Amino acid sequence: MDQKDLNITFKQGLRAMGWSFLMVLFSTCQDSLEEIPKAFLTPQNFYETAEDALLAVNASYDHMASGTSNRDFGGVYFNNYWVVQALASDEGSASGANNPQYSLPLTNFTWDANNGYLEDVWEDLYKTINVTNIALQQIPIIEMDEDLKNRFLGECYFIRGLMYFELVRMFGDVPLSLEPTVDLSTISISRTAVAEVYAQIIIDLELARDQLPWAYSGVDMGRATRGAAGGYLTKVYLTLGEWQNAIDEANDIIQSGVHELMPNFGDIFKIENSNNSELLFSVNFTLNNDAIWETSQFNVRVLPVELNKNSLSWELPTQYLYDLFDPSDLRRDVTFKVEWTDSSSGETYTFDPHIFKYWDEAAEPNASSSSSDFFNLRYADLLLMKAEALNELSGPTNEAFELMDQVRSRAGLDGIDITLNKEAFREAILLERAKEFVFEGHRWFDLVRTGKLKEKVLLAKPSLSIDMSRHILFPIPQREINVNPNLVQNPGY
Amino acid sequence: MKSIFIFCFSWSSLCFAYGQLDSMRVEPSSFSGSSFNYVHLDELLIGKFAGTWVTQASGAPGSDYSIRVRGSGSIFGGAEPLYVINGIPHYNTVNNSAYVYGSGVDFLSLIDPSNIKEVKVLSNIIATAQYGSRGANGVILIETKVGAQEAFSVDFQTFTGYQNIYKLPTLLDGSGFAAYQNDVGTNDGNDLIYTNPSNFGKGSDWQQRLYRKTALIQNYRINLNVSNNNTSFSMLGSYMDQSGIVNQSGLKRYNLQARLASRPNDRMSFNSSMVLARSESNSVLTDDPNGYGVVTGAYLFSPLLGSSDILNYQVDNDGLPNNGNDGRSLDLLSSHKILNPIALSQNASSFSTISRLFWSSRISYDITDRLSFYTQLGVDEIFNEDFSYFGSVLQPELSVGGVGMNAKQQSFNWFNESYLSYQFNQGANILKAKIGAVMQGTLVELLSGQSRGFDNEKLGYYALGSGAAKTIGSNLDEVQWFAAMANLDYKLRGTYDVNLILRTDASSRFGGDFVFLPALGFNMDLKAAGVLSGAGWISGANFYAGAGRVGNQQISSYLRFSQLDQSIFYLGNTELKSFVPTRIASDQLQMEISNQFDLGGDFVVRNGLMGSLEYYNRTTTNAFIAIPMPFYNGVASLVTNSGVIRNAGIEMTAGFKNQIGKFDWNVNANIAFNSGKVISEGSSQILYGSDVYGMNDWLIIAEGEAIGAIYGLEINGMVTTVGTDIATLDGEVAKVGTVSYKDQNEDGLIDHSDRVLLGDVTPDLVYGFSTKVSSYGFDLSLLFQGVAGNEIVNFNKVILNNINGSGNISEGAYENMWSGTNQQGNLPISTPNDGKIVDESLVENGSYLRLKYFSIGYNLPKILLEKIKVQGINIFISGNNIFTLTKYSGINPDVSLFNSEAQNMGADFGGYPSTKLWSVGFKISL
Repeated sequence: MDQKDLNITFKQGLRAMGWSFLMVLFSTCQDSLEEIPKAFLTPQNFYETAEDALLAVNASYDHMASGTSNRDFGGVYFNNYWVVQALASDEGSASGANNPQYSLPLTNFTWDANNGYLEDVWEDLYKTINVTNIALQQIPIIEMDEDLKNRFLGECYFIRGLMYFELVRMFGDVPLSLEPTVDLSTISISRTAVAEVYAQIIIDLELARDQLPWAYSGVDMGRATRGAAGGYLTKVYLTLGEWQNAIDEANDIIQSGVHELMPNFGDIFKIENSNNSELLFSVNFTLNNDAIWETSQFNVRVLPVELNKNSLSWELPTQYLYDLFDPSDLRRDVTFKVEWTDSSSGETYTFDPHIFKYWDEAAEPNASSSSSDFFNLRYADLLLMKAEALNELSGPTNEAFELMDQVRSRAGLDGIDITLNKEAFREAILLERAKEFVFEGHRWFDLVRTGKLKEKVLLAKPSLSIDMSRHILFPIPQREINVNPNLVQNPGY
Repeated sequence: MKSIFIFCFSWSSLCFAYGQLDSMRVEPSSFSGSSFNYVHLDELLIGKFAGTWVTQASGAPGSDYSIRVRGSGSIFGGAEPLYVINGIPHYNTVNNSAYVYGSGVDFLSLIDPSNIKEVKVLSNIIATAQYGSRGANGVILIETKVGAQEAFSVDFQTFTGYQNIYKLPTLLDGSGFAAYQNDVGTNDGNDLIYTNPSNFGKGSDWQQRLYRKTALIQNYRINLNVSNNNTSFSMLGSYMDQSGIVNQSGLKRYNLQARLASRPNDRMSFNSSMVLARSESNSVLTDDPNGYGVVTGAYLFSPLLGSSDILNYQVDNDGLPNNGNDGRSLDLLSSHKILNPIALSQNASSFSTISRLFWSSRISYDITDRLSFYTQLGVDEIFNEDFSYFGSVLQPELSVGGVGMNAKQQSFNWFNESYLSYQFNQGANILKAKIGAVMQGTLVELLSGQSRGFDNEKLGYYALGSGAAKTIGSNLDEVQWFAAMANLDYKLRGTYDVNLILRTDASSRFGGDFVFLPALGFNMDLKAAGVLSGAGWISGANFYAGAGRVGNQQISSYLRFSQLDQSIFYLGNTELKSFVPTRIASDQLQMEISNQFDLGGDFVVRNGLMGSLEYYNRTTTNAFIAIPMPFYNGVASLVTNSGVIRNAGIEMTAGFKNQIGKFDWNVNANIAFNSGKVISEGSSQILYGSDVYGMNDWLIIAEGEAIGAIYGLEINGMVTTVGTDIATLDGEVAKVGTVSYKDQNEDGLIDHSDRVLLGDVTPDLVYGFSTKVSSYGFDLSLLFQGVAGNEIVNFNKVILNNINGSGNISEGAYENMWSGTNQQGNLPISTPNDGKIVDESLVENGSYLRLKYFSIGYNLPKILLEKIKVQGINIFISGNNIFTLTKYSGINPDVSLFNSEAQNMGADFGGYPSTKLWSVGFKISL
């Protein structure tokens, strides 16, 4: 072999060496360039067992109570939901000590699309919907006990129906998302008409009603029941003016005998009576050293600063609301206090009326974070809803008076005047609701549903200007309009 | 000129870094006793490299510096340059987890800067393209010292430094605060709280109690070199003890470095370096965006209170907290719970240790005369452990006990680079070719424990088991990179040089997809080409141009996966668990890719003058943007590649080095203009900027606007007469003495939609000037540096100027406070939301010029040294941060609350104060 051949051979060898060197590198590296999450779950390695299904269902309860991940500040019913209902009505006013830029406009009916409280409510409701959408998509394909599976699905249908019911009442037409997001393609869905949203709500709540048990035991107490689904169906039909349907749904629950009024109004709010039989549905909070956003915020917000504890007088009842109560009404002094005596020092403090009904002083002397639950729907509500539907359908019937009197007699009041006509009875129900459900997250809905928002708010806050074409819906949060070009704002905003 | 490019180990002789803008070397003398005194490695980058913007994030010992090369190259990803230390690439990270109070110590600060031989900043495309998918934001090359030529040498150096705060806001004293509280009451229509404010005298000066008058630094180092014909060995041992200017804080650093270089035969060369470093740091709560830290606490805490008061109470006329049961009223000045800064510094502290083992070996072997093989192996292992304790005394209203935490993190980083290179000379023409591959992997594991409710608070983080409630956590982050590359360089007649880089990169973060990143460079030696034949006084000049693509992959791992996280809730009192979705997969996510184009030239004149000028334009076509998502998608945002941003600018450097008479004179001046713009945001306008004291979304990404544009309300002026036509934030009637904002959309309301651009956080201009003069054994060195054309959001003003009465304020604010008697005042009597509004009053010009370093040294004359048989003795005095010219009203215009985070630059709030440092020391060489 001469020098030239040798050179060629060497060059070939070199080339071969180079290529094989590269080939080996590429092949060994391709494998190790795969990313494998080991410290968190992904949808690809979750939703496989009945246990996973339960954890997926639980996510929606978690979102209603303690937090929706990114916001990290309580869930749907933690605070802003009931604060908005109270402030935007004749029921409450903000002191301005907390987020005055949001709370005062709600009090004064000058809110706009940048109101942070409304954005939080929207965010929480939709994040909860997303969680139910995921569970409803994933659970059906899990191999597990069919009865349990149906219950799980029922719970999710209930919660999704409830969330859309809150949304459609507050914002009108809303984007109707029934499947979990997988990519950017769903970034801009449009608003769905109210009627169509309600149709979906009814489908969801009926599925829930038919798949859920009347009651649970042990650690499952507090989950959605047939009573919860039926109770909300009653409310949906009442809102839609489908009186007979509302009566039928209410009857189903009343005849079951599962639910009843607590004999003593004040006992409803006692910590030890969590998940009592008056409650068709409640969202559970707890006071626990480990719990941060799992505690309830009622006491911190609504008890007076004068207690020298951790309470801050952020939301106050209107004087008008306080004055609605007859002094003989047993509910008045449970619901409010205007003075309080510190049992350790013996000193007495006086103040404007503050909401005291959520404070179980004996159980939680600190008046701070609390275990008290949010009462979404009580049996008293169901009774008054049925009375309202009966009145609307066929005027005030004896049955309607009798239902109303069940609630009144617990409050230590006489029976309602049976000579009331339809309109007067309608008014009486609205008044009864005002006194029965103070700061329970119903008032703005009730006033809008009955068309009396302007009339009643002006009684409590005379200087305001209320626009019945504008204030019966809240604006779509500006953030959502900014990020979704297909959303059109509600009229007047 | 070309000799300046001697330093490219990873690409050996093929490293053609056109334009020495990228490679103005830090003079080795910078590290000798006669010059500047650097404490942190990143200080080597300050003021010397055109277009390199260095910002000190916090003044805490060991805290991070933020480095930007040629503007901010990313908004939602990291924009820091890649560090390559002894050939091993990595990104600097900061130990600022939830388990550490304060800004945290960064891992780079472990390495003693005195043992660095050379630092270079690569920004030119042909230089950064060598680093492919991690080159887009520039590359910092750092090499530790190798043994000198002497057969044997030992030197010992020590200095003692004195750190002092150079500026603090002047706050109201006791009587001033009482008078101010009276005025607040009067403005609100209330009675006077204090009948005679002057009775309160000076009161407590919380700042004086919080800060040390002088904080000491002590530093000792010993350096040993041994060498023979073909092997040299260098070793350094050093110890530094730095007290922090905030009481209870400080840093100790231990270093052991060694480097062995050998050339056993003609064909083979070998070097191996090792750094073994440890730091121990104590820190307190500073740099806290929520405003709970000691610095903001010292601003806010009432001077009428004493050491035993934990919460910020209102006191009564006799100076006693009024009407509480045990003499402690809960009549807090503010709903935001401000803690006594002294109590906080004593009862909430953390202790961290970091150990770093850094090892690198490089072997080069000439297979034939033309063909050679090179390989490098490296390991960088970091262990760090954090301990913190939050005493129960700080939570008087809660009975949960103290909280102790302990976290251990281990980071393992391995690296391999290998290539074959081939060189062919044909007369005056040279062809060089190279193929090779780079592999790297990083694994970060975390284990943490937290416990609260200790039975006995003498026990703490070393006895987590004794707490009542315990939680543990763990995490893993794993990344792998791979790149294959080929490089072809052809030099024609020593005049024209063409360099082609072909590289393909993949990363596990982006699914292992390969991205092609080529670059092409051209250089012309103007002297050799005969262009300068008439100009004999020019000893060398070049013209160069380059274009190519580089990438950036500084973004969280696992973004291509949807994530479910555990969350708890309660039914009754039973804790239940759930898994909730916290992230939607960005399954198409790719690395950021920038197209860069450079054009420039340089020259050297015979008398020692040199200069260069370069234009660059870097466009990132798929910048990371977190697109806000409608909430029905379940998440607030999704990271995409939808942005387009561009940084373009001009860099100029001038240098001079010569002997004039008896004087050796050395000058370096550099200046860089940069314009960073958002070309397209890929969505609607995107607001960002993390929460500071309840204010967020203070930055905006908007098409055609600067990167880091500040967004807030514009001020109309003071309300002097009540008018219902004045739009307000809360919809209430505007009060006299409040601020009125411009209602930009004229809807009668002031809200987020009325915000406008108020400036931007990145400077248009970064410059530096340094000089050294030596004669008769003396030397004098100075380094000035500065920036211009940037704004800072001074969130401190929300506290210092907030005259709602919720805490102490600055003296100046009180003088400017509007009141019935001072209607000229321009600070409002009250503001909605406690003044937590980003408006133009917070946005300030951040331009400054600073004498950053100063030193005088003296080398003892040879005659004297010979008598005492030593090689050299040098004594020196040096100063850091000597003076600053700026209009900025805060403590320090060179500041960044959120460390080096690209999406949160330009915020100043409650940072650990930076200090002026004077030091004296000496060095003995044997």
